[in-house]
Amino acid sequence: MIVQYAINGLIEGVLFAVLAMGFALVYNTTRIFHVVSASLYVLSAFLLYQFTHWFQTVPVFILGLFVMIMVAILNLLIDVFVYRPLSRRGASNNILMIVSIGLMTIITNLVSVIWQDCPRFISDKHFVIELGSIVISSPQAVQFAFGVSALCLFCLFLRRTTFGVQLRAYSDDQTVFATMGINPNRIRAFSFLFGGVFVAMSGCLKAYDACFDPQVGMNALITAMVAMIIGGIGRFEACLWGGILLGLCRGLSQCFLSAQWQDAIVFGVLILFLFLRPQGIAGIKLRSI
Amino acid sequence: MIEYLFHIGVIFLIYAILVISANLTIGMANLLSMCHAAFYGIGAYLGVFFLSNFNYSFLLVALAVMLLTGVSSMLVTAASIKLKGDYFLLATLGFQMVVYSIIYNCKSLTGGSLGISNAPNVKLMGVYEIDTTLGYFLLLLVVVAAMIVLFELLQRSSFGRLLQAIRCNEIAVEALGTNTAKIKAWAFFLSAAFAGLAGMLFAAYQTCFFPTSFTIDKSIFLIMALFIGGIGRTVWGPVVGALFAVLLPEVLRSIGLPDAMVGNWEQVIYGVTLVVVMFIRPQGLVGDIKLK
Repeated sequence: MIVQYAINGLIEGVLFAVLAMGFALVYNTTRIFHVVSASLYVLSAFLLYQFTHWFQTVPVFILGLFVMIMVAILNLLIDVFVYRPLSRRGASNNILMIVSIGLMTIITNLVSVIWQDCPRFISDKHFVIELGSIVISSPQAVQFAFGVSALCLFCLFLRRTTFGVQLRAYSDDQTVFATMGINPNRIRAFSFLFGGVFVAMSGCLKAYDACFDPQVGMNALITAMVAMIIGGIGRFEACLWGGILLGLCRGLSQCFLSAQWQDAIVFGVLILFLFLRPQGIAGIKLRSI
Repeated sequence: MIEYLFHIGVIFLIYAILVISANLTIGMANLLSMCHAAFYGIGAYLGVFFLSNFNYSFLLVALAVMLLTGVSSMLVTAASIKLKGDYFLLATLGFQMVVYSIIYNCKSLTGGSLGISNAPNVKLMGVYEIDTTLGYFLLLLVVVAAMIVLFELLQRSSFGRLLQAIRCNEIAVEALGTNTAKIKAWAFFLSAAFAGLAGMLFAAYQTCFFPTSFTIDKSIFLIMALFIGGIGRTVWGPVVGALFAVLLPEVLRSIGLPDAMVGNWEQVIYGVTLVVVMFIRPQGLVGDIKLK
């Protein structure tokens, strides 16, 4: 039984890791607390629902890809039309966060108005894989496979390609980066685009398995932020470790406590980390946190 | 009709307490916190506990609630007051979620999702029970006036000046030998205490309330109201923000929007207003300082 809970938790953790990657791509590079991700997460799930409703012959995966591209472009537009003009007027990152809260409220409530605030689910042929006493549903398998492979490929991309090195350099120090003669805006646009892709991927994968209502975005995002912090700020791979650890804690807490305490468990873990190891599992020791 | 106006007045004054106290942390101490609704909730449940179990006067109950809510704020500050801004923000978010799940899940203690249905009224001097809307309106008027005077005095005290100095340059204040973490923790304590007072008055006035009044959305809503009104050294920014927050839904209802839609459209309008205000006047409608 414990193994079953652990596996469920692990798969949920991978989804949080994907969302955390979406948030971290923006946060690590620009230091903007991009709360809008919460509403984009919800928006992508509902877009996927609407598309599967409209185009029933097209496979869900292609529709999901389409949603990811749309949300990525929306994420970029938010940067270009909101964050950058405000930054040019000398707004601090905290002000950008407040604006981000405003945008999140707008998008979340528009989703509520359009889709009438009731939970939706995506109908696709689901089946169950049984391995001895452990049961894994096909959506869970899809979530795990997609999530882990996307994260691993992306981390490989960040390590091996010039562009990935540039992105990591930009997140280290923007000023020095700009003096190297590379256009920082290109990197910034890239991180917002791929941030949107990962946020949408997490939303679509979640919606593929469970029904979804518009108010879950903030809770999911907060859990993902915790995953990012306990994994280690400043490192992109760390999201995966943080997500998996958090997912396992949540899954196992169901075994010993009841499911309603999951959110509290998340913050128990966070507080422990803030006290004992503020740089996270794989984080770099910073002078001031 | 007049009863309805007083009702809106009472709600406005409760929000005024909440937003003014939020300004103490966010505006004066420059600590972005997102758990104001948690302290509001703690105050509400503590208020019900004290009012129904003891026959004390209003002042005594209020002080007890404020003290205990303030003490609960130390759970956040102990873990995170020395950390950088974003970590503190996340710790407050965490506190908000934990408090909400305790309120929602501990049925034996708080009534769970059904909430509390028979919160007792406030008694002045332990004898005169206040049970009308007008009574609460007058009581809140006195409380808010006292609070405004207190905050003005606080601004002029050495504590207020230290906070201003920390806002401008924390490292310099630290170099002069002041324990900035302690000052910030005290500001957070006071702010939590007043949020608790608002919660207690809310509980006593409403008699019946649900844990959904104390969610993270409420915290975000309070932050939006504060930033629309404007953070600053004066209390007028928060008061304008609270007024805006209370009047908008009434205006939307009066132009004939169906009740089911008011909630969502109201939030959309708050969001749009917040973004527009941040573009035009980052210090808020009547605020006098910018968030650093």
